[in-house]
Amino acid sequence: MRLALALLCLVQQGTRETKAGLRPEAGIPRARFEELHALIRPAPGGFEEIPWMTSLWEARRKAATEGKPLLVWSGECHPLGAT
Amino acid sequence: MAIDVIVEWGRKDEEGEWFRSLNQEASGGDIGKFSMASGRVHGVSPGGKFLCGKHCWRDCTVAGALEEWNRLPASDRKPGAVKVGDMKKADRKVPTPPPGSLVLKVHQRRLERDAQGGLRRWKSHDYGEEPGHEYLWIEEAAWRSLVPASPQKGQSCVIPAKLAEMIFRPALRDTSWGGKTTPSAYWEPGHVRSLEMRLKVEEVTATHVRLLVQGAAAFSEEPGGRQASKAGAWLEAQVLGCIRYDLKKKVFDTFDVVALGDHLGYYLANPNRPTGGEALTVLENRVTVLGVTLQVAREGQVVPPTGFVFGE
Repeated sequence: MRLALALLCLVQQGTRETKAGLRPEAGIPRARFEELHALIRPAPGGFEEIPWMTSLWEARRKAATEGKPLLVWSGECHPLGAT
Repeated sequence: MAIDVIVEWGRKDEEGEWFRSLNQEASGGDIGKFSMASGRVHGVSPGGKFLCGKHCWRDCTVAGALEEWNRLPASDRKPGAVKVGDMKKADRKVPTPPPGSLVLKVHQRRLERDAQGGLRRWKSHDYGEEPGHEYLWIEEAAWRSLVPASPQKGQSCVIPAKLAEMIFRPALRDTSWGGKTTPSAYWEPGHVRSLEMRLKVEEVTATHVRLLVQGAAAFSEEPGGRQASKAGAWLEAQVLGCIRYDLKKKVFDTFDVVALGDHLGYYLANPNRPTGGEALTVLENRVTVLGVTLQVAREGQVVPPTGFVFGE
């Protein structure tokens, strides 16, 4: 009886799957790394692909040197650190 | 370029003075022009002219700003017309990462199961498909301890608990609902129930050392996590990643890490919506899947991590 219970526990532990589809004892399979990385990160073509400067002074200096306007993305928390 | 208007308005240096002068030029001296410009892109000339013209802050557009720019006298627009020297002394209260810091960009996203059982981006809330964004500043002494002294393929070690916590406790959250100030479980040190991360040397070449990062984390507001008798946020996540150290530049040029796990967090509910009342932060009544990525941030971008309060 004890042996049967022990075996049952072992089987249950080995097959528990989380909502995320992981088996805790196995970790994230390496084969899924690229897929998950792309799924979580922003979709291509979004604002992160722009090389935003974060120093207003340096941006002003660059604009003055190059004869261009500044385009300032502003927020009441930092736009690059918020959704 | 991108700014936090609260920091720019309050900073006590030439950059702050110039920013405040932009607002004076535009609207008579208060913070009005930019404070209500959250999330918008505005045009400004290097000489300090707000390029919205007929476009009020609500309608300011890039195209409109460029039209206004092109209407300026050619002499104002030519390269070098405005001289901008070095800033004499930056306000010390404006945060910058300590020299030599490793700056990581973090993305946090809710995922859900599709009909086939696979994972997909969560489509079930009002904030679209943008993940949460966060930055981490890891001081040099801390991140250098990840580099084995004499790396050999197959070497393995446990990342010291303090360093693992420095990286993963602030990263493994969900700010995808709208930034640092909107609902998210914020893990305190006492919420770390287990956190074990291991490093393994996978490859050593003349120029690089590549390391595998692998581990698991369990955080919860209440002891017991998902089995707790009292409701509270919790997270159980697995971690996998590849970090690569450049032996010549002596920096990590790659820090690609994924975390994935079950999460019970918070969301904004607004039962008072019909009467215009305030939204409430409530604990969710279902477990979701949280995905987090870490990577080396774009060089030169200075964005404070969560928890920074300007002026303190």
